[in-house]
Amino acid sequence: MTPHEYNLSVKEFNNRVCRFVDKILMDRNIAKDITQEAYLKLWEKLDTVQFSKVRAWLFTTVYRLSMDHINRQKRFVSEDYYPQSFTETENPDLKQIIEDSLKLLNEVQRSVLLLRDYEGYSYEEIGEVMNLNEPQVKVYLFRARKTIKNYIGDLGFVL
Amino acid sequence: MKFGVENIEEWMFEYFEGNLSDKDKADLLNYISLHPELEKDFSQWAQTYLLRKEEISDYGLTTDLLQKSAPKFGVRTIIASCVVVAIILASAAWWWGDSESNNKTGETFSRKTESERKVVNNTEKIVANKKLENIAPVKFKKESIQPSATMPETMKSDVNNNGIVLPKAIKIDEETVLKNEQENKPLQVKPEEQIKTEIPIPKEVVFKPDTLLNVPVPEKVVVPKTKQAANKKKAPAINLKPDSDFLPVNPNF
Repeated sequence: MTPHEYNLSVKEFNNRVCRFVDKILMDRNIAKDITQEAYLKLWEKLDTVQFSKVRAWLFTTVYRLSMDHINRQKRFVSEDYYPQSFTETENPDLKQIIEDSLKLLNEVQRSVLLLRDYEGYSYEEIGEVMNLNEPQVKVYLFRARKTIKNYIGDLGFVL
Repeated sequence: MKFGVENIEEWMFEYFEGNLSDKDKADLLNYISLHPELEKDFSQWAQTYLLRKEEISDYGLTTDLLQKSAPKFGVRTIIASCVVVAIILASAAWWWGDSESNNKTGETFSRKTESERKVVNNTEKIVANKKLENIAPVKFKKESIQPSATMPETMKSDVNNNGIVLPKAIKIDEETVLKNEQENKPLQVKPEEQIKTEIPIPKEVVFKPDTLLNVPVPEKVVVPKTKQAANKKKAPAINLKPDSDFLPVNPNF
């Protein structure tokens, strides 16, 4: 990959990658740090990474970095995520409720759902990024959607 | 019946994932219409896909992550180009200087004296004659070459014998000989011995740097005198005797 192609990948994917990490970790600043770290690694491995596969490489890298970050955090904090925004707002936006429901998912379910809905990845591509096979991806995705659906159902929101 | 309470959620999931065929989709929608209590679940499943519509927000990392492209003409490139230009200029200067010196040597050659030129020409002929000696002669058949009036006398005797021996360097083949005979053209061929005897080896050779190669050592080497030395006249001897009509002024003389 050339430096020009690296810059193209920055312009094309940096916000997507950062959003993916942001949704996994629920922390905007850490998401930015991890995104920068991933692009630094990409710059160092410029000769080995092909431009056609840079998107998958970026998501794979940030996913692993995010998992490493979560594992480090779990050593110190054993607090379950729980959506707080609904209790804080009387008439929350449905989109916001769904985003909050992501907090109910574990990291793997959340990552699968984000790659599927945000990035439009196929089961196969998600499996490559997360090192899973297609049936596993499908199961994780089904469980994630069912959790969100049940959360919406509990709130009584119906379109 | 493939649809049931225990698996209806999987079918709804597959429907929104886009994994069902058109027939399965129609069957599922038909089944839900027959069971209105499932419509709420069906709409809730649909809401789980709202994340797809979310727009990408800007995290402000683009400018930080972009790498400045290297300048088109870096320091190394400039140095390398300077070196190349210097080499080209040096080679051009050397070539120009060399051509100038060649012109000067040409002028000196033109100033050669007539005797020097003769000697040089003779040595060149000797070298050429030496080359001819090394070349194997070609023997022509008697049947193809017949003595004729146009043929030189020296060759007639050779032709009357079994064959005629001509030096290969003359490069006259059978066809050329016959053609010349038919057209009554005189054969411009000199026998090998005649060529040899025409060019005598000079006894005196003026050595020049370019004429020394492959030249037999002469008996005597004469270094020519320069013009100034040749033109230099001897100074007249001083006669200290007084003339007969000389009257000395000094009385003590």
